[in-house]
Amino acid sequence: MRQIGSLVLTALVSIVVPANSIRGGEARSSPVPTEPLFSRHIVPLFSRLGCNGGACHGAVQGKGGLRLSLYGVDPQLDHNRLLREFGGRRLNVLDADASLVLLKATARVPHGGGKRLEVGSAEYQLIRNWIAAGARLDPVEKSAVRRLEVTPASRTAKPGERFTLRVQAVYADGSQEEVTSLCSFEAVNREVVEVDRNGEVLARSVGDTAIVVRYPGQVGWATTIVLPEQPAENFPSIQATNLIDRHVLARLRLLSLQPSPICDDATFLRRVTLDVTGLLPTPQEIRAFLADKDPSKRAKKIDELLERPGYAALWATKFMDILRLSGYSPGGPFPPSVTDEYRAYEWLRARFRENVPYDQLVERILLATSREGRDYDAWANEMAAILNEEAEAKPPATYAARHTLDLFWQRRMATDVDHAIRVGHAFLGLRLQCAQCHRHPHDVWTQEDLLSFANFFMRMPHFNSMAGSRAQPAPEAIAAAKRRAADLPSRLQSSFVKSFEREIFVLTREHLEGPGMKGGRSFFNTSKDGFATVTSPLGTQSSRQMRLLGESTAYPLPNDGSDPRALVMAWLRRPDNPFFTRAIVNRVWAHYFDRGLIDPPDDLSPLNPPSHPELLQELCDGLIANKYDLKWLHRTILNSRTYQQSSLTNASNRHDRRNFASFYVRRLPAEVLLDIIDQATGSSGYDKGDRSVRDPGKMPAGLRMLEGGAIFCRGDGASTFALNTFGRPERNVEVVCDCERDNQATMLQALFLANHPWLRAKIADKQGLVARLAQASLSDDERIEELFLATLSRLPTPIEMKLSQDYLKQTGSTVKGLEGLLWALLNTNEFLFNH
Amino acid sequence: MSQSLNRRHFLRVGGTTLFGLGLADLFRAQATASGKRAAAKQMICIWLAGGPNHRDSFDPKPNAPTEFRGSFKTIRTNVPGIQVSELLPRLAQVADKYTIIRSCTTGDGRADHAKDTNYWLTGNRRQVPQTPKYPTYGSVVAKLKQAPPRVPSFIVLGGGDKDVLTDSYLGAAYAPLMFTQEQAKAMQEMLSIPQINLSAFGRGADLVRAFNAQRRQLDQLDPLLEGRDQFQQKAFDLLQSAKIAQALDLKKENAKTLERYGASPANKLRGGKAFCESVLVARRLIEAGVPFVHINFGGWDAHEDNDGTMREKFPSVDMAVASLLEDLDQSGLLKTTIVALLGEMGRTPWPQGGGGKGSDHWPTQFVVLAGGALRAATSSASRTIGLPRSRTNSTKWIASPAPSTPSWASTRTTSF
Repeated sequence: MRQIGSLVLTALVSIVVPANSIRGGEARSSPVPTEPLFSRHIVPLFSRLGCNGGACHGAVQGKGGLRLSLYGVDPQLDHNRLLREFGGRRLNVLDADASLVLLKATARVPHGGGKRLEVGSAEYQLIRNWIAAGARLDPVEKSAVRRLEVTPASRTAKPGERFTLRVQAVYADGSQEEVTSLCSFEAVNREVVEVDRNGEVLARSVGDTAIVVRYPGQVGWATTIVLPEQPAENFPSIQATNLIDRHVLARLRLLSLQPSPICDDATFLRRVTLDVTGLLPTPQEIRAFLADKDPSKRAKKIDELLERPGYAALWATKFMDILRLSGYSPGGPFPPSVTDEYRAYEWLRARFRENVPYDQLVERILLATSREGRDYDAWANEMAAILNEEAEAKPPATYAARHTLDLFWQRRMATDVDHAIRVGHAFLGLRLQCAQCHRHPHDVWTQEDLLSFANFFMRMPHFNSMAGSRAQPAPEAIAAAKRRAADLPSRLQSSFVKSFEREIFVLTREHLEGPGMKGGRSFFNTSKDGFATVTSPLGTQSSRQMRLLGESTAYPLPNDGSDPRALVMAWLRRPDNPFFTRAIVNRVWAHYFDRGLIDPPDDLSPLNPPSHPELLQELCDGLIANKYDLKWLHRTILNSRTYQQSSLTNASNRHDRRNFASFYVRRLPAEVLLDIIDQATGSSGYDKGDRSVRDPGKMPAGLRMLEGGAIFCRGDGASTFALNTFGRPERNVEVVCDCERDNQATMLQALFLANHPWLRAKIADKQGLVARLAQASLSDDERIEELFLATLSRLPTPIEMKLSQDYLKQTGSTVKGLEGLLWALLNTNEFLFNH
Repeated sequence: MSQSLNRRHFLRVGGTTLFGLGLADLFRAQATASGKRAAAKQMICIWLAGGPNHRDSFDPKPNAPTEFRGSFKTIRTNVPGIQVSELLPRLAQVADKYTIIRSCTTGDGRADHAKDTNYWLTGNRRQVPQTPKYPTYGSVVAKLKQAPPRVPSFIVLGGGDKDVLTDSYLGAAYAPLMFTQEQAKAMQEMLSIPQINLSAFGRGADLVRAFNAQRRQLDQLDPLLEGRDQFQQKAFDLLQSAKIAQALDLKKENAKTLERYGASPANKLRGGKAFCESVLVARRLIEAGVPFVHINFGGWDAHEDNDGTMREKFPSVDMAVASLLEDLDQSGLLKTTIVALLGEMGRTPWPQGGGGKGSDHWPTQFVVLAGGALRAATSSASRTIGLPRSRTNSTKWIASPAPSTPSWASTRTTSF
């Protein structure tokens, strides 16, 4: 019946639209290949027409009986389905125009997706020619796209000007072909240019943008700068301090965006102290800095700040966020072990204090082992010291002194495909999670890319495999532990061996590893033979090779028990690694400028091009040339004019949020805000009545909020509430994004600062700043100055002085007046923001 | 579109569900197309998280075979033809004030807490990571409707579903003020009057504004700072007006009222008193002019003991919601206030789990709507019982337990 139906349909359609009536369409931007290839031309065309999208035939169940691989990742499968399914009606080789594919796409027979093609258009011809030539499948490997060349790669234009992009694909077999008409185009900044589906660009308004070009399996991009009709004549001649300014100013000059002037000394000191150490400068320091006549005082201050403890505290916190070091649970999933988070924090802090080169830092995380090659007795000694410190509530100095951070591998979800995604995010700035199920339309990674990358990490035993008692801890290790336990204070002995055994389960990674791919196996996402596997609504897929992201050749599987992670590390260190150095440079940049050169800063997808590619490249080269000394990068950024310019805007740069024409203000992070409230009020660790001013928790005394807040403050007290209100991150292992830390402004924050009893108690602290100022023999004007210095890190303007004097007079009582004034200053925007 | 807006449209507009963007569409549509002003100005959503049993409450099945009928008797309401479960005696007496929709499902027929909660509350299942998180209706209202001066737009009482309610692409600016268990203490403290000397506070606030004005150029055109200024203004207003603090403070509330709502110590049911207090506070917040109040009342996921759970939880709902409807009706506020009562799913009409005492997830559920000029005193039919195709595999529900002939499909256009 089906066959007959098909014939009838074909006959009918032949009558309605005789083949010879089709008018030949001219391709607008590139010629129609006379011998179209399925994988090079037809599949890309399906993508461009939207046929294989998730809402159409690319859906899990397909649509209307036809199922294509999502975004055309599997040309072989697609070809098979088109050719074989449905009684072969979809492709009619003898009468190509009568093929159901064409009838449907042109809506000559009812098509749920409507009309996608004009009869006779160039695109129509392409499919038609391919069918007429036999509808063959070409060798797919040959047509893998190696590179897209987009011309012009960068161009300037005047508003209203039009030009056309051309795209050349370079294939695996070395052949090249123009594929403009098979690509899709998208402008990143659509206010600047408009680009149509044929690659025709219309310059609209002054600015710069990248245009992203997609062809299945590969993306490319071109940049366009739209110049003002009349370049500003009075662009100030500004001296570039270093390479950053050269690039930034060159762009600003092109766009006639006038940069803001350099900020004043007080603003600079507050800004740089907050950004480097997470604290405010003290009033004495401000006065000294303002009085200093040394022309290089800013550079000297930068050097000094980078050596302060706050620098290491701040970057350890940042890396806790980036690495998402949480979710430790030695005895099971609950409760999460705060102690391990604190150990990891102190380990990181020690490394930043030592200023370990970044590549070595990553190596000591990525290649971490628990035993670090030592014998069991040596290791048991270390374990005992670690557990002893915990029992005695001492800071985890022993763990901090370890060579490697094995806690990176001891979180829940720290192996398998999940962990490959996390490694990709932490060290490569890539978001790979979408590739678990399919090639994402906004990224280039396929399932195969991800799974092949995950195979480097498959030999790490899953944390949960301990709970299942599938593996026994190394007996030698237990014996060593028992020997060591004998030396411990008796009150600790029994609990020590117990927790030691538990820890050994977690820590004896290398003991569980075997040769080849077998070895530590987990419960999730793993095939029986230990290769990376994912199961999604689109089916189950696994990879049996080890291949690095973006590389075309796979490594032979190691069968000598060597650690495949070392291959990943060697790749990260290669100077041509496209992600490793860029990821850290971009994150550091984003810390100081509130926006990455690539933004969001943890999305280094080829589809998200940088705003200043040459600058990013030079900074990467510089960091490598300086042997990954992060302080070189900090110093270069902090000494630049670009960093030191004012946040006050002028008429020309007011709307700029992309070219760094002024300093972009941002709200302070939660922990920093709480710390500087302590500083400004002169009140910390203070308790009044039944209200605890700072949650005791298990937070060791003397830790700043920046150091311990995100780890320890988990109660229902005021500081927990404040940290949550101001958006500290949960460091949720399952979130693969730098975006968890929230820097928005909310009404709850305003309420907190305006009327939380905790804050009011700090202001009124009898040992606090107000009390001290009230008791000191100072004039009111001097007291007002001190309050301004303690909060806004500058002296009051004459108007502010007058407002404050009037306020104090109205209030009558000196103490009440000063409290009110301090309250008001803490509630100003200037206090809450770095500007 | 607005000409033909019926209740189904209200529940599902353009691919979004209950109130999500649907409500936004409605507000917009009503403002532009109909020429009539919307009747509803405020809303209370009472969210029964975990899946209350529809059969044991608003969708009784007295004629079902005994194994599906459940343990509770059916009682008559004050509307002829509408019956509810015996667990709802007081709500039965005010059935003329609400409508029961019994033919709702969340779509794909597989009841799932997270997905269905997201779907009901935002119109989007949020299944795919990195895709936009749709806002809940309170945030949409906060975004589109100007709140009256000195009150917040959106308040949440009770804990649970924090991510769904607070995270959205609209941003933190439109997130609710949450009175969750963890935050309730801090919120009460922050809003309480005694610690503020109002005149001193006013002078302090003036000083802050004067300082900020000195640095106005700093704030120029920066959306972050602009937002911050607005929130601060709003926070100062809120503190100076004391309206909200008073609405939250039940200390001076009449003892009879507390008892009627189930908000007195006599309510010994687990979590009952706190929930009933929230409903009463919600009424007071509506009276104070707050546009949107969301109440969370969890604990309905009765896998272990269906009857026990329903018996422990519905009486509080019965007392508090019946009292709420009576009071809003009496004050006339019900005309302009929508009250919605629902959870994310229903429960299996036969025992499942808990050693034969529990009940499992079920895609058919009830939604009760009142006020806002929505048509009241009606009910829609659900499929007789909603049997699964196969009892052998408990996870394979019938794919679509949609109603055969929804009796309400023909109800006239609702305007609110």
